[in-house]
Amino acid sequence: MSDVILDVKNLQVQFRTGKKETLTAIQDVTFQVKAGEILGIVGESGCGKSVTANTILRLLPKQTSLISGGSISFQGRDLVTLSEKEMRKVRGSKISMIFQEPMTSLNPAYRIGVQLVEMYQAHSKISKKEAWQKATKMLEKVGIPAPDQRMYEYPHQLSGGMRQRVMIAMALSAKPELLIADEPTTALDVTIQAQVLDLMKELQREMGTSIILITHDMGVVAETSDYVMVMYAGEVVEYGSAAMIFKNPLHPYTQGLLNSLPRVDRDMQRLTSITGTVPSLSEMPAGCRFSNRCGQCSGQCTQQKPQLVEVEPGHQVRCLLCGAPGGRGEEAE
Amino acid sequence: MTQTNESARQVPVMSIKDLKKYFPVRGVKNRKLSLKAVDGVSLDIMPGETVGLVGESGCGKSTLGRTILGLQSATDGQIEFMGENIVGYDNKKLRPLRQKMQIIFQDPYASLDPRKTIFDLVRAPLDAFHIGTEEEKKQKTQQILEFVGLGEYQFYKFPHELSGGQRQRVVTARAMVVDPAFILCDEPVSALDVSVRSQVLNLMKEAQEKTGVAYLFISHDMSVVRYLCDRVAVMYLGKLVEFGSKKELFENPLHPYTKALLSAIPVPDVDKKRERIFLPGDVPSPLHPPKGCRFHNRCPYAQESCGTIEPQWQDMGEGHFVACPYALQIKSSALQSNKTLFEA
Repeated sequence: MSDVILDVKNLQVQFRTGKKETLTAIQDVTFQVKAGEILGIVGESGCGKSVTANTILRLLPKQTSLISGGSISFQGRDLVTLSEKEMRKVRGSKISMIFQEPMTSLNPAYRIGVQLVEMYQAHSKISKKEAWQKATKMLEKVGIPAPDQRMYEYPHQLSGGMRQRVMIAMALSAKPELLIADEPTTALDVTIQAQVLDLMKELQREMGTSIILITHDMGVVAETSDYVMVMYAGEVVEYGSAAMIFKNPLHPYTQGLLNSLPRVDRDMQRLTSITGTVPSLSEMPAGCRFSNRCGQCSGQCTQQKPQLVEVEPGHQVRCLLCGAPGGRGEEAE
Repeated sequence: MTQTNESARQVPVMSIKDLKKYFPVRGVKNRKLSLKAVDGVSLDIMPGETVGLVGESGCGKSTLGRTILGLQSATDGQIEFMGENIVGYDNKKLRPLRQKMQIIFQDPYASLDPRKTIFDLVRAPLDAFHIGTEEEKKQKTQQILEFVGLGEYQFYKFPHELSGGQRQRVVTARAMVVDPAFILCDEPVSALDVSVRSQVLNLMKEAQEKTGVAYLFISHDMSVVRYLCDRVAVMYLGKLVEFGSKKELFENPLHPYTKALLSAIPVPDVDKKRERIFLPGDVPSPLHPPKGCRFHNRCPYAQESCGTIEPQWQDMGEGHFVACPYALQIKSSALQSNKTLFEA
């Protein structure tokens, strides 16, 4: 087993919605990222995957959000308790992030080169000339043709795929231990998506960076990730290796997600779909949060909150019916 | 397929011949250029069938859709809607035909008036075309709303009170309420989450089985197209590169672009590590499309002649057409992929 570099335990984040009202956006989120592995976080919009990512880097606005519980241990330090000043040293150099829309992450008024050089100079004491050379080399590494010229271009002159490559170059410039990619290919076409995913995998292998890949696309996860975490309504519902999740999904939500995907590699007569929609945070069911959409829901599910339980080594499920205490296994006895 | 379209097989509901749509662009030094968004597309859509139109962003698929509905005037070519050539029609002449052609957009929120209730929104087309009496309109609206799965308690809600999936149901209901013969669906499920997306796709399938409406389904998502469509057209830079039945296209793709497109789609299966055809570079600008075959500068099988000779439609039998002269040679592996370009 390789070393754990990020250890998130029982993380809970609340949003302030009124003077005294709060909503719990994510709760009881526990996972680990080992050195050199890719963890895929999947879930539908609003399930808390981006909140989780932003919380790790403490990017959520302080005025409206609050980390109300849990710890994020990174290289032996708890990121939750770090001061803003210390946090700045972590961001970009130790943990960096790529966002979905590269155009909004790049400054349209500055040349690519200037923005890359700024990144290098922020993290190490090097001359501008040296930084420029390093940046050019990095652009070449991420597969941008004619990097010398591209350094002098503005973001709008690049295509979407190129911009995302620039973002990757920028994110990896300080050789971070962990890269968080929040829907990095969602805005791209499939052929470009394939290019960018291949590039990320290649760089990950070469530089040994761990990646947290956030996406809603089960296909992307299956092709890239070593481990998969499925989130629903602010909770982790299933966690395991990619093989476990895709071959032996245990949580009814994971099963439902996989069954409702139209497949490009086979014909399907009728898609099975999950009924209803994700409840809003303010009207969550009392017991299991998936209970009102679950086909296998029993009376117990609406009352008792399921815990994340290990059902086989490395495979955790939050479902009363899957061997959790008081679940199906014990009923049979 | 259902029986209704078996009898009507002969007459296409929408028939496009050599359709062109150019946009004038001011170039450097005021030189006039034209952006050839759609450049010679021919397509037949039969009653009761779903034709998928796939391609990457900027390939002209939405422009094609808008042009055949008369929302934009065509530069050249023919658009026959229910036997009537509508090229050059003004709004007045188009109006009676518009009842039979409807459209569903990608963003259901942007296409619903936020100040109207669901019931009024769905009823609006009936008012616009003066269909039925007051009582009939009410009945029809109610019927269609129930069909798409919206309960009575939701009739008087406003669009912002609904979820994305429900909004898309409202838009579908609004398109269906006037009994159209043809609906253009422009990426109708791209903005929806997986679990909701399958609900809407099933709904669209049911609606078609019930009414025999024809869809032109524009999408960039090949897996959705495989699920919903009967025949599929693949578009690249304003031209169709391949057209055929779903079975032919997905199981026996012939054009190198279709192959690459299919191989690039991530499959939710950890065991399936498919051979990926890597396409170098980006889609070229439609302002300056490459000469000859528009795909030749990214094609792993490109030959010298591809850069000069524009490929023609080749009939591969069983309604399968491909615009690549080397399609059969590639299939039989007589032509190997061009390694130098492959790695570039």
